[in-house]
Amino acid sequence: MPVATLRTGERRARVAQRVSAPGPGTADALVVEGLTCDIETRQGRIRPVEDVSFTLGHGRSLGIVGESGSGKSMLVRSIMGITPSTATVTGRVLLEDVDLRQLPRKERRRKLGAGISLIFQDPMSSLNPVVPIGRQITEGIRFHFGLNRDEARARAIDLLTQVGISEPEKRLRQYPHHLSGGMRQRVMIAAALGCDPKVLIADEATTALDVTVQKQILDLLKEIQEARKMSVIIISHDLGVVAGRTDDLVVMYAGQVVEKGPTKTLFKNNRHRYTAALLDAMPDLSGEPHQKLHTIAGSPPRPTKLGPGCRFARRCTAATDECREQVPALRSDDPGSETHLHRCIWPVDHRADQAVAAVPAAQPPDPKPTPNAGQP
Amino acid sequence: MTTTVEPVDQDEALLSVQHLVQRFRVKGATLEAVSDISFDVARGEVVGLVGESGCGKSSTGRAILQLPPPTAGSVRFAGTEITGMPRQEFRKVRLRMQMIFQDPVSALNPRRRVRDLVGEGLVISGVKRETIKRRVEEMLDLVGLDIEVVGDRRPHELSGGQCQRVAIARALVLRPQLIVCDEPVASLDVSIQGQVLNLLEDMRARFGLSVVFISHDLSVVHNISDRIAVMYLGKIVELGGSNAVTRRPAHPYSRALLQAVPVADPDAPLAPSQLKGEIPSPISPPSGCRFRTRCLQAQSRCADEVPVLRDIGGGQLVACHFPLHGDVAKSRGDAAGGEA
Repeated sequence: MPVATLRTGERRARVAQRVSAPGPGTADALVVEGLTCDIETRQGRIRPVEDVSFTLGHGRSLGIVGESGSGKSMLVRSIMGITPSTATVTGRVLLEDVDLRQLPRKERRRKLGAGISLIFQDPMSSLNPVVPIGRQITEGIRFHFGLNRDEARARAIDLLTQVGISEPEKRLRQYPHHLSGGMRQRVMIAAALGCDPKVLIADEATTALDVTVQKQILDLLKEIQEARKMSVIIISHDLGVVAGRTDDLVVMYAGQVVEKGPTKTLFKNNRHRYTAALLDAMPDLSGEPHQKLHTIAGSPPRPTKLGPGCRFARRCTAATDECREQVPALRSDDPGSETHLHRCIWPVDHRADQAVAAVPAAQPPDPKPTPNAGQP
Repeated sequence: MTTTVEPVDQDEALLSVQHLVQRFRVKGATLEAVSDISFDVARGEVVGLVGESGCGKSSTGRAILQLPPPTAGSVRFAGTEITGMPRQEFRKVRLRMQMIFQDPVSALNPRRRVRDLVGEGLVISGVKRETIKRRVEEMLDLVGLDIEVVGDRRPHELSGGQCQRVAIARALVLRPQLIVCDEPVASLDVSIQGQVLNLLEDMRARFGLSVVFISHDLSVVHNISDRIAVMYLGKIVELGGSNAVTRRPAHPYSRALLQAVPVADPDAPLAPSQLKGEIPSPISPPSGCRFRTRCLQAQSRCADEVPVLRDIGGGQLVACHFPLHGDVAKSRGDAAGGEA
C-alpha cells in the first residue's frame, strides 16, 4: 500500500503506532547467521567476510573490532544489502525474526530502512553537499512515516535538539559545509534516529574526529541508546572506543570472527592470541616515555593470498605447524555455554600467567562471565 | 608579552623557537594559526606537540622548516638564525632537518622506485653514486626493509607501514640532526603503529636525533616524548615533562584532552566530559584566555586578561590563571583572600 495515498488520519495513526510501540516484541533485535560474502575481483575471488554469526539483543550494544582489511565494513554492507554488484552474499540476517535477505526488494527496503540505521565514518561524504540539512533529515521520515512537510519539519527540529544542536530551525536551512565535523556527525545521528530504528550501526563513526569530539559523540550515542532502549553496533579499529561502551565484542581478523564474547571477558580473559596481541600493542599512558611497545610482526594477509590453517599463524608468536595446517573452528572452552567463543588452537591462559606472576594460591578463580541473554 | 621559556643555555638547544607567529590570508580575513609561541628542543630530545585539529601544531612544525617561513619570530637551528637566511645557505642547513608526514603513500612519488626515493636527497646534495648506493642499502636495512625485495618496487606495491619505513629511511639517510614528524602514525593500524614508533625510537637513540613529534593522540606522544607541549588555538597552554603533563596536568585543557583518550579497560569509569562545545574559529579567537569559552572553571578574569606561560615548579609551564595545581593557592589568593 503506497504511503502517499494514505489519508492524514491513517497516516497519524501509523506514526503513533510506530513511535510509541518500539518495545521488544521478539527475543532479539538482530541475528546474523553464517553470513559470507564473496567478491569477484581482477585478482580472483576473495572472501572478505566468512561465516560470521552474532546475536544482538534489544537494548544491547555490540562492538566489532579489527584492523583495516579485517572485513568489518564489508560485514556491515552485507547486512544492509549494499555490497558491490560483483558480490555474492549467503547466510541469514534476521531483524526481529524476519529474514531480510528473503524479502522482496521493496518490502525489504521498508523493513530495513526503518529498522536499521547506519552512520558512516565520514559525514562529509555521506551527506549530500548541495541539499540543505533539513531535507536530508526529513527524507527518511517522510518516506517511511508518510508525514507531511510541516510534521516532518517539526520532527527534524525535535531530533536536532535531541542530538545537542543549537538553533535547530536555523540549521535546517544550512548546508553540510556550514557545520564542523562533530556537528555533521550529530546531523547524521539525527537523520539515523528519524525512523526510530531498532538497531543503529556506527561504522567507524568517530574515527575522523578529534578525541575530544569523539568522546562527546560516543557519550551522545550511549545516552540515546539508553533513552530509547535501542540496540547499537559500534564498529571500530580502536579497542579503547568499545571498551567501556559495549556489552559484547566480536574480534575480526582477515574476514573471520576470531573471538567473541562479553566485552569484559575479552579484555580480561581473552583466549585468542590476536585479541591479546592487539590489546598489548596499544600505547597507553601508564608506561614510561621511550618504553618499547609490544608489536605484532608483519602485516595482515592479503585477501587473495590466504593460505591454509589459522590466518593469524604467520604473525603469531605461539604458532606451530599445527596452526599452519589445521583450520581452527570457532569453539567454546566451556562445553555448557556458547557465550565466549574463540578460534585458537593454543589459547592464551591468563590464569596460568597470573599464577606464575603472583603465586597467591588462595586467589579465587576468575568469575564466570555472565551469560549473554537476549534480554538485559 | 609572553615570558621567554626557561633560560636553557642557548648553545645547548639544537632548535630554539622564539615568539613564532604564523598568519595565513584566508577569504576576507587573516587567520593566525600560530600566535607567539616559544620553545626549545635540546640535542637528542623529543618534544611532542599535541592538540585538536586546528590548534596550529602542524603549522608550527612546518614553520620550523620554513614551509612556508613564519610571519614573525625566530627559529634558531644549532645557534644559527634560519628565518630570512639566503636560499643557497639555507639549502645546506635544511639537509640537517628533515620531515616525516602523516600519509606516507601520498608523501612518496608514486612513479619512483624505493631505492630512488630513498636516494633522492643524496643525489640532490651531490653525493657520489657508489656512496649513495651503499648508504641507501644500509639505511633500508636499518629500517627493516630488504633492498633486494623492495628496492625496485613503487609505493603502491607496499603496505602503509612499509611506506612509512621508506619515508623514515628517506629522511634519515641524509643524517639529519632534527626531524619533524607530523602525525607519522595516525593513518596506520594499531599493530603497525607500534612497529613504526619503535623504529623511530631506535633511530632516535642510535643517531642522537632531536625530534619534534606532532600528534593528536596523547598516548602516542607520551610514549615517545621527553617533554610535551599542549597547544590550543595557536598557543602553547602547557609545557612540561611527559610524565608530568600526562599524570598531573595543570591546565584544564590538558586534563580534558587526557580524559577524552579512550582507555582500553572496560571497568574504567567513563569520566564526564570536561569540555563545553567545540573549538572556536581561529579567525576570531576569544579574548583573554582562548580556552575560556570551553572551560568549566572560567571566570571573569579569564575574559579580560591573557594568561602568560609561567613556571609552576618542576619545569612545568602553564598558561592559566587558575591552574589545577602548583601555585594554585597563590593565584586563587588574589580573589579569595589567601589561604597559604
